[in-house]
Amino acid sequence: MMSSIKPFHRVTLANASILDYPATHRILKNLKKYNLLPSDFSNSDLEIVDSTHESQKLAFTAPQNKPPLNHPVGAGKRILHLATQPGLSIKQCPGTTKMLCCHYHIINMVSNCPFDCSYCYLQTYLNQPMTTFFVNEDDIYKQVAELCARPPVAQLRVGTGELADSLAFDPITEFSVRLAEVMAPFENVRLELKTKSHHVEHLMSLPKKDHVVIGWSMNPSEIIDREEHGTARFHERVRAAKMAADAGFGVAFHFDPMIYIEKWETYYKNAAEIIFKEIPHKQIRWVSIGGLRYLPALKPIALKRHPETSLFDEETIAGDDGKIRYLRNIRTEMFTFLNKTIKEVAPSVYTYLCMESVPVWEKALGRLPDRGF
Amino acid sequence: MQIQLLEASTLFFPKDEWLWLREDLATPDFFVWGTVVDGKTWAWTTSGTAISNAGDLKDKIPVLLLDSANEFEAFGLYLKTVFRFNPPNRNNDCDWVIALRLLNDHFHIDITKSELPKHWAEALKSSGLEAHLGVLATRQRFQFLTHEELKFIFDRKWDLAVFEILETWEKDLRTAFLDALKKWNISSQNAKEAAAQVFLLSKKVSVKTAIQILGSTFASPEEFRITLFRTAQPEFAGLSQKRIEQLRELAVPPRTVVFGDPEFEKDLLKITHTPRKFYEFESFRDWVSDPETAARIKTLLEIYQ
Repeated sequence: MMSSIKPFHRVTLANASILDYPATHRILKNLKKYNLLPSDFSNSDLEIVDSTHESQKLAFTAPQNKPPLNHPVGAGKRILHLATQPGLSIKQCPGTTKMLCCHYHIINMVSNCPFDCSYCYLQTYLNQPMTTFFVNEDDIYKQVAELCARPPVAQLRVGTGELADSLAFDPITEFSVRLAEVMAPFENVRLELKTKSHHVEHLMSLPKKDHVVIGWSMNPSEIIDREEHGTARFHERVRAAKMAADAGFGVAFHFDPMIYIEKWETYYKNAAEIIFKEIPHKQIRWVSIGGLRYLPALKPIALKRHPETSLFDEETIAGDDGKIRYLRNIRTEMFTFLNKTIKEVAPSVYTYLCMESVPVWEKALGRLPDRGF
Repeated sequence: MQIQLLEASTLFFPKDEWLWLREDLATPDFFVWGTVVDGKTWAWTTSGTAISNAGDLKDKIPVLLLDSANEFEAFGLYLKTVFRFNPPNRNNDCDWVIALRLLNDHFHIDITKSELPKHWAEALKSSGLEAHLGVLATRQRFQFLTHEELKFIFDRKWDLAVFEILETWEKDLRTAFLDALKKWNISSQNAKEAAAQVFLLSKKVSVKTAIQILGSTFASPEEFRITLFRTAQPEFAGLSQKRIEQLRELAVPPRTVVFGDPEFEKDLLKITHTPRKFYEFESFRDWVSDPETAARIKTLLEIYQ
């Protein structure tokens, strides 16, 4: 099940009290079960480290490694750090400035991701690059329950996929199972688990499923193979989505980031047709579409870590939010095409754009966003 | 610390050992710094250079002798004194890249396994930086720059990040790009943009073509930049031209910059420019009061989004 994930080189703790949390022991047990601990590991190998100093050390030494480990976020994927998260753990998604936002809430219980997509924004976001699990889960669940209990003004969408893939490590942490249980009593809440993995089997035993939406980040096989390293392949994601939909989970698909390569129309059309043929439409809660966008700082990092990438072969422009995007006419063409393709095969499916401006919404979808997810 | 008058010819200026980026001075400063390493006085001027004619100087020059040191400590003293005498600037970053290179290649010291070396914390503070490994890490990642590239950045007082994209380029392309840049007095921002265009060109067409274009003759730095821009991004260049025409028709108040287009930059237009002088304010007020402005702004936003 976890075969695509590489074992950690080291496991570190923020302090000795981390061992007092039940989640720590559950995680260590599951790491052992899935062979993700360093060889001959015993609990005496757990190191207590200062995460700031460790991050600085990693930043200093990582450039000497071979690609793709030649960047702290790459090297940090192989170090597991267990820590607690003080303060507020559930936040509104920052979206991006001057672009339309989908009012999403995020919970970060894991930071960094075992997968290694060449376009991944974590490469420019994380200043503490070790893979970090926050083990004070009860504090976090309490905050989540309090937020969910507020009088509903609209449907509350909560996700865990901002600083990590929601399900990549979930068989280890089991955080999503517990979050789903905490949110189950609230009618107006949807928990979205965004992933590029096929790790859904452990969720099947959840007694209530319809408030959980498992969202797959999708791209055609040709792009997954080239740019989304270590992730589940296209057919594995579709198979997992079908399993989830058949079991009663809501499912979602995110064609994001769409990447402009030769024959992109054919690739995206084929991908959309397969997905919407396999998955029952009534279980599809929403489909988002977005174009490749990145901070200028990403380009040299991605090129250094993944020299074979073709992400940067096309013309781009800096958007109002400072992120680099394809030219507007290219974006509009791509979004219009994919939206039309989806609507042809799945007319009832709700589509929206992620981090796009009013004119692009109007031209590609013929409307502006609403809150009707 | 003591001052001694020493024959200039007896001083040793370790410019090769310490990979100095600075040009030698023709005449000595009021004094030079020095420290005794293995019985020999290693010296440097307050600006961090050697004296080019030290062997020919007849006069004795004052040397402010610091504590005796081994070569590594002497290098720390060099960093500390040079940064203290020269206000923090971008050249410090080049110095730190060199310092870290020496640490690895010359002194063979693993800085991650111990405290910061003697004098380095003070040298960092004199550079206006926090004294910790993370600060050095952001300079460490520029180890890929060749000495020639680093020297060029140092001489131009540019940010190291201007050349960041060069790391993955083929050697011949890097050389051709540096040779082309040396011909022109262009800004670091324009050089960074030119690098982005060269990269795109090499990926879209070929490295060979990119080198060929870099080696062509241009009348001015603007022509050099525009040729790269229009060859690498023909569609964008076309759009940009359209925008220029549209913006000109709108007669926006002074100083609107259209990214990447030198033709337009010459017009010195900037829509977000804050009026700093009274006539700028008046001009802006008139423009805002114009009943057609709202319609123009709408069009302008359409162009920009």
